[in-house]
Amino acid sequence: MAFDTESDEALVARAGSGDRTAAGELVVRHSDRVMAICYRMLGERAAAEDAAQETFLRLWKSAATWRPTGAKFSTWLYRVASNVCLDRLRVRGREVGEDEAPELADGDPRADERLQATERAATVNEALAALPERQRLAITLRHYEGVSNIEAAEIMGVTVEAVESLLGRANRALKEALMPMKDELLQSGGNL
Amino acid sequence: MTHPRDDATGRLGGAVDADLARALDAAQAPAAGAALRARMLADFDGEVAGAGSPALKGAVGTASRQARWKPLSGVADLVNGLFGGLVAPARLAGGGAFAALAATGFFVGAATAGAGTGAIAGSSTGEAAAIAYFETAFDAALGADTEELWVAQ
Repeated sequence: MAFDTESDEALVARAGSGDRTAAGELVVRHSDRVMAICYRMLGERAAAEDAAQETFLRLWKSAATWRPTGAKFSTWLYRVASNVCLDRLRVRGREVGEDEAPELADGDPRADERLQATERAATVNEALAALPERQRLAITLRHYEGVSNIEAAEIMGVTVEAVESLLGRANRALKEALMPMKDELLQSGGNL
Repeated sequence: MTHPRDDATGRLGGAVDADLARALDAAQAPAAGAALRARMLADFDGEVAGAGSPALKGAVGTASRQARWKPLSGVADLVNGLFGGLVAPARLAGGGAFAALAATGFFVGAATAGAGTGAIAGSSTGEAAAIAYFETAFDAALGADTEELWVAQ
């Protein structure tokens, strides 16, 4: 059977029996999204990679006994990723990671533009990182991962109404934080 | 079940307005790279190989973690080759910030430029210049006092 037509749930069952190809397909399907969630929550790439790796390690440990319980597999996996990140934030005791410094090639005529874009992105990341962790998670899931409020509620283990409340507060806080650069954001035409 | 407040795409209209959405999109999250995916599958192999054997699982896990830092060890070797043990490899391998920098390719550029500086006739002046280069580069990149990261010969 072609793996690209096989359900996540079937792949998990295969992985649970030691099928490495099925495990590889699960990694291909979900690692980017898990990585994105972890990066938004933890704020730096190295920490996000470790959290993403731990998420999949928990999957491998659970695969043999994992059974669908109503929620989609992806919902379960993103919930694991979210919990891994929340655990790490609590241990770390802080919520802002180091900014990354993308390398700019010498002599690149677009270097200045890229630097400006990097600075704008850093400002946005700082605003995001300053949010309380559950507001940040709600924004990450809804805006960046495009999941529905219902699925976000399942992932976060809260009600839909609670997700909407978290989103509302997060939106207000982000808009306030980003207001000083609103014109710059609009003029950039989305080329950030 | 479809929530009555969800639109056709499953997203709640107005949850994130256009300006805010654009601002949020300014910072794209990095995709999972090949190295990370390899680490994930190495963990899978470890789980399969280690079933019923905690000791083996630990060994596989340790090997996986060590492999993760291999690029940094390479950098440490290079720097130590240039400066005779100036940088402690353990320090290099222990920091998440260094891993982040390594992922951006920072060390490759820094080491190359540092090597060029330090190659000034192998003199103490050249070495000092190279050391200053690294210290400045690390400070700028990390945005923090990196004095503790440097170990004198």
